[in-house]
This record gives sequence, structure tokens and C-alpha cells, in this order.
Amino acid sequence: MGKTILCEDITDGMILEHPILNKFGQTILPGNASLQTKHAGLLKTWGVRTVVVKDETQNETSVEVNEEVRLLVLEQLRHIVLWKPEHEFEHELFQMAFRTRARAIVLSTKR
Amino acid sequence: MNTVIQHITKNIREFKTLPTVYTRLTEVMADSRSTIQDAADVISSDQAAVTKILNVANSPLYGLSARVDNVNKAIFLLGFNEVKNLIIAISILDMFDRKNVNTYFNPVEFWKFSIGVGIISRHIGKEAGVANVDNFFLTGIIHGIGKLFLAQHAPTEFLKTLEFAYDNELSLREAERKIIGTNHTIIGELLAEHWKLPVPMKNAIRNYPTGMVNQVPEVLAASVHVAYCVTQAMEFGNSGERIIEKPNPLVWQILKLRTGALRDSFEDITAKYEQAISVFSL
Repeated sequence: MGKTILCEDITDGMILEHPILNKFGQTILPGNASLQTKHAGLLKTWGVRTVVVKDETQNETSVEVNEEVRLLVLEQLRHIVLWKPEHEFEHELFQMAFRTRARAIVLSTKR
Repeated sequence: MNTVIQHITKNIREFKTLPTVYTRLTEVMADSRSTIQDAADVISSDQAAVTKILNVANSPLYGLSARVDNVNKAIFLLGFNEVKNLIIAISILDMFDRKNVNTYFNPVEFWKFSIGVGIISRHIGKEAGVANVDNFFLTGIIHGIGKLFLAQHAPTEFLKTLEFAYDNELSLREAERKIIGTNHTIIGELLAEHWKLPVPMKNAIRNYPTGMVNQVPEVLAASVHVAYCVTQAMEFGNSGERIIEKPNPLVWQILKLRTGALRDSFEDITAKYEQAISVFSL
């Protein structure tokens, strides 16, 4: 299930849900193409005002983390992240490590 | 100089050079009269390289909207330098034995990790506003080439090093220095010299653990440094290190990333990584 956005709102890395075709049925951009902001201008010249992109919140890789998983991940990270995040990008890095571990745990329990 | 270092240095001097297609392509690029067709003719002499270049060019890594179905188009869309870098990456991937597996280190997992570092280095370079990120992907891929060299040419000492690092919660570099007397970044730098790679690439291989060149943050080395930490956090492949390193706080000054530059790219990077390891047959 994708979400429809204006071309102006395209940001780097958004994934196209369906291919975009011109009026002759030719593919301008294929489905699953990784969009970049520069595509906005290109699409507008083709008369495209909106695109459907994959909704990250609906993605399989986005998982719900309950308290039990959260504590388990934090315990695991305690042994491999031997520093305390202070700078904003250190926090981002820690969040990425958390998300990776949490996703692996949740997906393994689903199988 | 101890005997292990002597053995390693001798093996580097005698190690495989980059393929003829690379040297011929470098010559073509140095000649101002050369055309895209001249470069395409050189590359087309190596059909295995052509197939892989087209696969990579069509992967989401470059986000090209047009289908790249021949070498001329790849050069036109990616540029001479990036195509040359892909040839280097493909050649180096093929130079190393993938069978030197031990309890702590698996070359295939290490290549996956390195591809992750390449993808993220390129992403960080773009986020940092670098106009030409051609060298970022390749430098990321070969940042830790010294580890593979050690795994292949000093397997017993490398295993001891890995065990020592794990048992004592040390970085591999610290353990290598104690057990072997040198470390993989120095070996990587020597290999880069052996292959006559550009100086910024050589400096980044030597200095990726800090992101600093001559005590000053440098954008390529800094990007690879942060990419290394992010790849560890995202658990792509395996670097042979157990802990996630803290990025050097000094690199943020030169990278000037926007808030969310790392966190928001999680899905995009994951998708590119999964495509790339398939393209590189890992």
C-alpha cells in the first residue's frame, strides 16, 4: 500500500510504488525505482504532478517493538556499544543499531 | 623488522596487479583526444567486467531512470572515472580467496560488510555536499583490504589476532599491533600504493579508523570512517570486529550533515545493499 505525494515532496531514497507511464504507455520510471529530488523537475516536464511511493510505516522492515524486545535489544547493545551517545549523530547511529537488532528479533519470532 | 612483517611486505610486492583493461583504460582517459567509444572498446575486451558493470549501473545504487544496456551508455551516465572504479572493485573482489574462513572471520561476510561501507560512504559524501562522489563507493569497498590480505597471507597470525581482540575487548588494529607488529590499515595503504590508486583513496584506507589525514579531518576518510560505524550498526556482513566503534567527534565538523542524514536513510541503504550484494554475487 503506497502513499500519494506531490512531486515537490519527493526526497532522496523514496521508492516508487508503481511504474510511471507517459500517455503513449512508455515507462518514464519503473516501479521500485529509488527516487531523487532531481526527479521532481523531470516528472513535472512530463506533466506528472503526484507520484505513489512506498509507505515506510507499512513496510515489513518497520516492526512494532514491545517492552520485552526493547529491553532485550538494549541488553545486547550494552555489550557491543561501549560508549554513551552524546552527539546527535551518535544518537542516530545508536537508533540504527537498535532498529537493526529489534527488526531481526521480531522477524525471527514471527517465523 | 620481524619475520611476519618481512613475509607480508614481500607478498605485497609480489601481489597481483590490476588487470590490463584497467591500465589501458587509464591510458585512454589520460589522452584528451579519446572518446567514449575508445573507452567502451577497451572495456568491451573484458566481457565479464561488462556484465558486472551493467548490472551495477542498473541497480538502485545509482538510481538511474534510464536502462543501461551497453558500455557506452554506462560511461555516459556514470562517467569515465566511476566506470573505471567499478572495474577496480570487480578486479579486487576476484583477487582474494574466499575460502580462508575461521571462527571469527569469513571473507564473504567481510566483502558484504565492505560493500555496505562503499554504499554508505557514497551516501555520506552526497549528504556532505561533495560534488563528485566517484571515489567514495570504491574506497569504501576496499577500506579494509589489509584484513583480507592478512587472512590470506598470514592466516595463523591473523587468527591469533582475532582471538586476542575478542578476549581482550580490543579493536583489531590494537590486537594486530601487539601480535603482528603492524596493522591492516598500513597493509591496505601498501596495497593501494602497489595498485597505484589515487592518493586520497590511499590516505582514506590508511586513516579510515579516525577519518583524519595528517591530524586534520578529510572528507573522503571521514565519510568512510562514519560509513564503517554505520555498517557495523546495521550489521551488514561481518567486519571481524565485535564492537560498534564510536565515530570520531571531529569528523562532524567537515561532513556538516543535516539532522536525520543517517537515520532517515535506513531503508534506502538497506535496499541498495541487498541489491549490491546480489550484483556482486556475494
